[in-house]
Amino acid sequence: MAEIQLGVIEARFAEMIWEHEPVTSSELVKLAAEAFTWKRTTTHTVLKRLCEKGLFQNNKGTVTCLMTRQQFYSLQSRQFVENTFDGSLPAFIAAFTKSSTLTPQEAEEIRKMIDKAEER
Amino acid sequence: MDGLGAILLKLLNMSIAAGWLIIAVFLLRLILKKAPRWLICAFWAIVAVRLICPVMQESTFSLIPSAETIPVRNIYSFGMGDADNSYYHQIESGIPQLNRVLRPMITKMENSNVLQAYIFLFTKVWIAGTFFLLLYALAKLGLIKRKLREAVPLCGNIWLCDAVSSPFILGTVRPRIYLPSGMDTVQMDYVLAHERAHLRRGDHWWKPLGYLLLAIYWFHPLIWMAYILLCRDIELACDEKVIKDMDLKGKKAYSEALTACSLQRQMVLVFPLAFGEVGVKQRIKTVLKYKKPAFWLTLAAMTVFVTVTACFLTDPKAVSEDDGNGGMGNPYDTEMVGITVLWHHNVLIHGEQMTCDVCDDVVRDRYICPKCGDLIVVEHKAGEKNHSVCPW
Repeated sequence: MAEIQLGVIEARFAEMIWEHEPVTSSELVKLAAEAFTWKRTTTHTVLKRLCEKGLFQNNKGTVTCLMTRQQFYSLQSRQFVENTFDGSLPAFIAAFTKSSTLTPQEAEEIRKMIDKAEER
Repeated sequence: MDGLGAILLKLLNMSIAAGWLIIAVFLLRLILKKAPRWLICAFWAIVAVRLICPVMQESTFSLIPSAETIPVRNIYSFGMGDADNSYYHQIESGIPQLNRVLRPMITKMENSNVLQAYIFLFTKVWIAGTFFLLLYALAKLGLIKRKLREAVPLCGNIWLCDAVSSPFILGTVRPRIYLPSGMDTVQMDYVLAHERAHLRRGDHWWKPLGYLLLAIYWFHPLIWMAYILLCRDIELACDEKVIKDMDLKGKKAYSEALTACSLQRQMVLVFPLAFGEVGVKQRIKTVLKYKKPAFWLTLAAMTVFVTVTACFLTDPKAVSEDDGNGGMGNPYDTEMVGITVLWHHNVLIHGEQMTCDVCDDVVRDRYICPKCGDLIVVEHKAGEKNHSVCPW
């Protein structure tokens, strides 16, 4: 899957859409004007870009998402591990636990996740 | 094109005079390295004044060799329509050696039409250059503004933007600070301190002013050097303002912020006052080595400043020639030392010449007036400044 890169502000805008979707583009323009002081054309430009990246779709003025927020961020995490740890999840966790220890709750949660993932 | 050509010549003279000042400032800058940087920026302000004001106070302290190197009057007070009339064109750079080199070159252009043609060409090229430089700046501004459409306000006049890779200031009336959206919060403090220093010093006015002067005087190579050094000194002055009361730890952190921002820099020459753009290595060295300048040093530097103002912001006193009018029509004095240009019946005339061994000035000119055929001689005794005019 191709990598999706989002700028910090683009990400904020995407969050805004996930929060309100399905939403009309004109409503989106109002929200963006309020939160970002963006002009109508700017909002449309950024929206178009996000649609091209495969996150959302704009059907005759109604904006809906092509992937949920969860799906997107899990994709990002996967990409991050792929790029930084050569796809090795253990390496990632090792790096993570190097500087901070796991709380008992976190450890329990992770054990449950491993069991679940192994079952499949 | 006469009016425009005259303006250009006036600007040329002003730029030559300013050129001497720029050389002086360049040298002083090297000597006064440890002086407060804002004072060095003040020197560049003198240069700006020199380039803006067409008329300067005359004084005997003036170290400017000549305020009017290329005489404007001779070219344009001439013109009785006779294409064959030749005249003596005098350049007065204030330095005799330079005169000796330049004058024969111009004298060769005996026919005034050739000279006029050159001036016409020069005017066209000059305007084209200025136009291009201004257009370039506006285009650059347009491109940046387009990128900044997606910027988002953070607080006050600070904005964040995805497309910005290096922090900068934009805007003269209501300036805004633009930061990269993913900027480290620790670095942000230092960057903001630096950019705020720019705003307090009014650099968002000085830099565009400098560029405007550059656009007008682009034909003088020293102006480019002055502008580049001005930009450097502005950045150094802001660094100084931020770190002057910092301990070593703060200075190190500041240098790190500087390095991080410089790694993503764009070379923007004109408008934005960017953080990591200008001579980063030099700036980090200066920051880490910085020590508050001693009181006496600052005082000495200020004295130099006042001296430079007196010596370079004034013009040399004009030396006028008395050519002892022998009733020969309209002898006209050009304020240049040594040579009297002769007019007869309002026509500039020229004849045989012999040069003086002592001072290289013309000893004896025999002139023939094309209007009335009179023979006139201008006598010059070696070592004397006065000329006498007598009929042949």
